[in-house]
Amino acid sequence: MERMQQVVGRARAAFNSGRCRSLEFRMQQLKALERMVQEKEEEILAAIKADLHKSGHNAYSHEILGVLGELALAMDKLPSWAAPQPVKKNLLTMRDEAYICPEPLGVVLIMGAWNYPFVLVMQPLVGAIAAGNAVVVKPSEISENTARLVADLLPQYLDQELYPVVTGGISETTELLKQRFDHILFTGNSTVGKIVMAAAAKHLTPVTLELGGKSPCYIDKDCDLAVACRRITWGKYMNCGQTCIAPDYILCDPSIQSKVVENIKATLQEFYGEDVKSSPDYERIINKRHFQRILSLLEGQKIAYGGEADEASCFIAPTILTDVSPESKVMEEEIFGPVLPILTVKSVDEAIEFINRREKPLALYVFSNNKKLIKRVISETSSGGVTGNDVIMHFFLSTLPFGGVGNSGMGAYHGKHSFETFSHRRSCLIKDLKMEGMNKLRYPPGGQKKVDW
Amino acid sequence: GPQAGLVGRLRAAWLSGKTRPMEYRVAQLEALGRFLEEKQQDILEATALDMGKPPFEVELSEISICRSELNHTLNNLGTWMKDEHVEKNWVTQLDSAFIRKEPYGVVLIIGPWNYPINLLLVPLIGAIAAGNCVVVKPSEISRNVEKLVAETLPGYLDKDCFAVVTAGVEETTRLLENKFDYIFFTGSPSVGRIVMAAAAKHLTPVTLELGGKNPCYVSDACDVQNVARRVAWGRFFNAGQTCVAPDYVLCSVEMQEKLLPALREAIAEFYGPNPQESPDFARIVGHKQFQRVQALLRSGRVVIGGQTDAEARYIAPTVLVDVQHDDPVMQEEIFGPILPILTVASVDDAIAFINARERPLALYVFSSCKKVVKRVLERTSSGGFCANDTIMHMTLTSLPFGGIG
Repeated sequence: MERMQQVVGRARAAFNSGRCRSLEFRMQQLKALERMVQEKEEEILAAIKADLHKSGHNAYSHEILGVLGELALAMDKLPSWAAPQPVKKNLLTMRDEAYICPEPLGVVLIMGAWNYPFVLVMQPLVGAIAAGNAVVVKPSEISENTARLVADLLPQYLDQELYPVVTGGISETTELLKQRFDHILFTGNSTVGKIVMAAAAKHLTPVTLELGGKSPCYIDKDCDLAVACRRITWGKYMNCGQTCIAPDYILCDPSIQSKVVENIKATLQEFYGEDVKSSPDYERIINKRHFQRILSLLEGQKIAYGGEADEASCFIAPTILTDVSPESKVMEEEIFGPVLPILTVKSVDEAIEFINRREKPLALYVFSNNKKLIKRVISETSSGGVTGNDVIMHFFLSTLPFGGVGNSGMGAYHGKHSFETFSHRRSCLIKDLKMEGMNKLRYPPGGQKKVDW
Repeated sequence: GPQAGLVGRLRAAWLSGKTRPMEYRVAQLEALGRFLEEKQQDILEATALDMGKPPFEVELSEISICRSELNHTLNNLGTWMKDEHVEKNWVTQLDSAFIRKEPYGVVLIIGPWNYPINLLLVPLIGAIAAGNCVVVKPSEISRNVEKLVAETLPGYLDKDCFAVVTAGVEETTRLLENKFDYIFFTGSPSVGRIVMAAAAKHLTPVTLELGGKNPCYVSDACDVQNVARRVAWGRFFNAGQTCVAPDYVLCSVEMQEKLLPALREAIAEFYGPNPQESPDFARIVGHKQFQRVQALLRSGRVVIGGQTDAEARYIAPTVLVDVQHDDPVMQEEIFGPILPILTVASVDDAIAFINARERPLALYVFSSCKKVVKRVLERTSSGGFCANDTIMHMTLTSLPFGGIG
């Protein structure tokens, strides 16, 4: 498709013109983006609501607040992030200048996901613009309302050649991936992640892959169950479970399993009332395909709570499963839905072993009053990130790089890490033409004296 | 593939956790230090056999670089391993927030033939320091070093966690079918693509240290003799088989006139009247590579050097002029002792020339005028940049070394 080639070609020509190198230009674009988010808040919230049945209040806190925060941070810190960083010199380079110069990579591609359709394109976009790149933005076509809105709004506020939005499904995306980019940041599942990386390999394009996995949540016997369960309930059922760092499943001692269920039930009622379906704060599954996928995970399971579903509205009630077997279907893939399996383990050792037998997850959670136990779980497992005694929250501290490892991804971003992801750190050594005497030591003809020195 | 058992064994060792404690890593690194000490003579012999490497060069570019990397690592490992506490926001004031550095698991390091010890061991030092298990694959093209490493290195390291694999193209393709947790590759961009494609199947992160044509702009304002020495040194070291060597020179017609005699003098200073007899000038690594580089002599016009000896795989330190931008010598990374000079009317023309091509691993500018240096730096892109010298930015460990594009 010529269209993709043209769009990317135009972005590259615009990048090569050099106009996005100046910090003033980048600040101007970031300010415009901020204006867009503020002025079009209603439209953005409406699009997200249409896609995910998300309340304005939730959409604001999940998607808009974070973007405004990243924008403010980037605008505040850009001069210091973009400044050359002097490095420690050695004896040979004492009189020279040595520093790392952050530079734009060129034309980068951001591929968003449908579950947080606005923030997952916007947050990387902030970093990519701040780093001085041209950016091709490809929102997920599955969250079609937000995709359409982003395609409408961005050209109204940003430089149209430098930051084009591309929409479309699989065939358009395949065509897009044939083009050459200088970095690709992709958020989505591991299967597509492999396809993206394979396409990138053809051009030697570095990638940041924000993938997923089954994020385990270990609840120790020694913890405040009411608090733990409230936090877990919040993180699990927000966005109807469609969160890459939602606690996917619980590991706990059999003796506390029923208490865990009770506490989560109580919290669910607190959050969503007696009739979840009519709560404005409870979202829906994105589409029929995922609705059916999630429902099929319930087959043969012991449903301790929930299980109600309505296909017409893609509604699945907050559901808890108990005594789940590790071999069951619900334990094979990332659930990405409001279904919470509980598996029992007799000890933290068993929990650690269980976690380590599986692919490295994007997030790992452990609840305990015992700091040593938490430390141990962290040291003996691996994951993209960890929150202890809460869920999700490590996502919101932008000084912590956010990303996966192994099957859950590679690379990271947020805050300054976004700027660095989208920059090339160019090593610079500036010498002068004097002091030639020093160099004689390295010139041939060789000799033992020179070697000894 | 045939190596699956080996990789499986290393993975089991990795899962046992034995590479994680600092004491373990330090012990392995110290053993690597002993390898360098005790096998120094063997390294000198093997590199001499493989490509006529002058002992003087081996000391500088293979042995002492590894030694300083080792020392630097051992001195700093404790600090590097510490959790990095990050600035907190108001919501997290009472919490503990830090970045934990963790090993990836089983790492694969594929080394090239041009600095077969340095470019294998320096990444290995990092991988061990970070607590990984490592499969090391030395280049089959530098056969004698490959043999030395395969036969003697395992004896120094813990065989459960570290292995050396010898493999040609076929076997390496099979090796890459295994799942690794990180792949570090040094070599050509075309093989880099193959490595990354294989890595994509397992979502394995990679570091690719590739190459390119490193431009060297010489402005009119400079001390010609010093420039000539530094450029000649960088170009002809290891008979030009250096990924960060200045690949070609861009300068004005006037500067070219001055540079030629200066280069001639520098070459004579370094290698004497007949470089083939100098103990300090290397050879091309193999016949295939010799033929490839020799063919590039047909571009432009030879003004210095040009002599070859196929038997000895010797190509004299050579300078070409009247080279056109589409000549064969300008179509690929030279990786040999040939320095083409192309003339440009101005620094802006030089910048345009450079920007019309793939971004190189290194970029060099020689000028006593800071403004010129700044201008080139700001308007180009490259892995690394060095003003008024060649290669030296590689020797400062506080500067990250890598490419772009």
